[in-house]
Amino acid sequence: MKGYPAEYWRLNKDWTKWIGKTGEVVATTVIRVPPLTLQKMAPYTFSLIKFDNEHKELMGVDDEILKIGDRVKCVFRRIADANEKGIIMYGIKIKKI
Amino acid sequence: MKILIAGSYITKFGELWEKSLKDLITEAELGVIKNSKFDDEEIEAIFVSNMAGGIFDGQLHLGAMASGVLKNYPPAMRVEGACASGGLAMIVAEYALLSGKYKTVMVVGAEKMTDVSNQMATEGLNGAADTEAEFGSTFPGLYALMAQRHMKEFGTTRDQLSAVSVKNHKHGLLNPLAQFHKEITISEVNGSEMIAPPLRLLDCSPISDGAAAVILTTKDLPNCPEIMGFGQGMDSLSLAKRKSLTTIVAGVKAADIAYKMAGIKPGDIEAAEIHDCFSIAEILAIEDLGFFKKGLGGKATIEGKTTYGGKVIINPSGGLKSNGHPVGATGIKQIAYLSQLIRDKKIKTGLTQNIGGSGATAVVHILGGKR
Amino acid sequence: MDKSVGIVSWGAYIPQSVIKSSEIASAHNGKDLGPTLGVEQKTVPGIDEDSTTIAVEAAYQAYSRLAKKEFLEKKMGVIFVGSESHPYAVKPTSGIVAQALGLQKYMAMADMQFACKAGTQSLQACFAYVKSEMAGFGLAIGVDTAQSRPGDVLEYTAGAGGAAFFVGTENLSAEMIGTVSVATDTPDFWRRPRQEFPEHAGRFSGEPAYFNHILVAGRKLLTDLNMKISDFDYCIFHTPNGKFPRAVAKTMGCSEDQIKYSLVVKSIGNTYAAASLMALTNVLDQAKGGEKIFMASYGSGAGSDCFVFKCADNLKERKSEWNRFLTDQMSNQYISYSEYRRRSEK
Repeated sequence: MKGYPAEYWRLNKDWTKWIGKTGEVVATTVIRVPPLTLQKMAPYTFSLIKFDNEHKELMGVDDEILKIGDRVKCVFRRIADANEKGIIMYGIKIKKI
Repeated sequence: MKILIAGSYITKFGELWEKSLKDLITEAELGVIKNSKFDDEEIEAIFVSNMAGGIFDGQLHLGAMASGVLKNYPPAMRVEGACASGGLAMIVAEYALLSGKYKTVMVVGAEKMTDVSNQMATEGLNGAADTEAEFGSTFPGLYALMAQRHMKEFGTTRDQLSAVSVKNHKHGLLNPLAQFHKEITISEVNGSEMIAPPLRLLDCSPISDGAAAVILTTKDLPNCPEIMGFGQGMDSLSLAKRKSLTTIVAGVKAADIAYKMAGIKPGDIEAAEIHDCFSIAEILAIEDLGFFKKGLGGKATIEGKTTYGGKVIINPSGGLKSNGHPVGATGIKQIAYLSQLIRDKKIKTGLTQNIGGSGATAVVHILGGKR
Repeated sequence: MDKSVGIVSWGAYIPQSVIKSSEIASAHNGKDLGPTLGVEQKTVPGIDEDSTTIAVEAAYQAYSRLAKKEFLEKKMGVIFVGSESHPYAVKPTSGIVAQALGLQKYMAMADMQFACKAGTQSLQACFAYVKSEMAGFGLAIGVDTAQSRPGDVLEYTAGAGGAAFFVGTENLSAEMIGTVSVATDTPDFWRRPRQEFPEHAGRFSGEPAYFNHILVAGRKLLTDLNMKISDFDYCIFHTPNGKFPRAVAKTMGCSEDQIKYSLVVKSIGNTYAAASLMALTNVLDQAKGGEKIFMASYGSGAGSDCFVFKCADNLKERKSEWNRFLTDQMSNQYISYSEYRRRSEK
């Protein structure tokens, strides 16, 4: 995901599918050495979550730390650092219930 | 039809400021020809392994670059499978030979990673994951999830993870071409900077430049190590679709095929070059390859069973951790290094395991002395 | 026969970090102005939150509280989002919120700007669209992630939060009985486009601005409806701090009891375009069937929107499953001043 407008537009169709969905943490870590577009958000949680029918890998909100077994819900957040000129990358993250 | 390794060459791995990607490819090609009984006109095709030339240098079309090193411009192509590019290039070469179309081919792998910043290099490697489904992840992060599960399900300890890096650095001291010639201790690994818990800096293989090449032939030549078997296995690109985080199923599949083709069992392997991109990856590998029971890889390592005097020598070259990990070169280096040990009669039978991404692609080769 | 129009459901969201006034005081190296201002602490958005994400959270809560959702498809809908901190200068917050909620594509929408009354102006505009039957439903949101200059007194009060209201003609939780707005060109508080922080005109923002507009609009509405302030169970006045609303309430003749639920500013700070709407949310969380609410917002620049609501008789049953936003969301994750400033350097 690079933050291209068309890519954002393809992906925003999925938001409603996820917002509010709940699941359980299967594995979780904290990204301390982040990719280029996540420098300001680091350190952040990155986890594998088990939902009813599938697993998904998602970032945690803000500076929240999770443990295996935590129940989480999907929320709508910025998923990359703020920048001055480009589109704002919104997407799904997980937050402890 | 038998496939023999008729020549091998490995460059020094490390931060090679004076060598460009083109220099590395050239050095490996000319070096392997020199180490073999062949002239460059006898090389009928070249298979090039490289992951990120396009990202780091903007340089694609590496088949053409490799072809141009030899006088006759043999047919050449680039093969990519993230960090398993080397293994995959071998497989393509093997199928080309088995088809009977070619008798002698070269496989060369190279990567130039240190021109860009560390940050950019890590960023480039992220392309080996599912960049949409795993957005926000880094490779240390993905392997950290696997390490966390392994520790939870089998009680693997922090010290056991560190033991992998300690052993590989020890082995690297014996390899003049290794990137690092530095002994490290378990407590040094334990105390190194946290990258993505539980993985620390010294759990992670470095950013490296380097190249390696082999010449494969179906001609009947004396004293050449033989490729007794090979196999490729696949699994989902993203971790989310895997059945388990503590087994690299692609590797199990690849190993099964290779063992069957070679007609041997794990117990027959004396040394193995396996894909320790992170310490946990080695622990998973030695379990998945059948050397140790699932869950006991960490224990076996810390008890010395994977070094000289143990059950099987894992990563005699120093592995990715200490020898270095120029991504496209690694899979070829593994073959080249073991083939040298066989040629020098230090071992009879060896195995290489090359993994792409977090385990989506796996290639296993079994090498043996001429039977 | 005049169609009744009102609030069908509501939702609110406050970020999970809070900073105490005493923590700001120690960074300012001065006296803690919190007690004087009537603001003990304020909310601070996370590094990955902005007005759009907060608007989505509030709207999602309101959306999930709708007993019937079919009315969202029957006719064109309308969504207005009022804020002083829309993340884009050009590209509406409303559109992103509508996408996140999965609303139908036949939507009228625009972002509103009128300082702290952009949220209530959004609500009033939704009432007009729905009452005139031009739209089948409205979604009105007031949201802000207010910025303040380091060292400025506004650091004590500039908070973050959002409140959302679904507006319709049936299944009402609270009917809108009447509304009046007043506006003049009064430069008490403003921000130019390339400036990060607003400017304020000091004491001029008191009597000629805040007090004048609320009193003029409020009194007109009461006259039009032939009502007295004592008719109301709850009164809400815009909360730039805890002082101003108490003062104007006294002038209007309100008791402490009538305004007590409106003073959420004490715990969350001034949420600017969300302020009056968040106070309304807290009042609705507490209100009983049949009770009457008087609300007067204020937006610098300047203007005031006044409303009278009458709670539905079955309000208690309607909201029996709904939690109360202040108790449910108020967090005790206090952060330091340096963490607060780190997050502000987006």
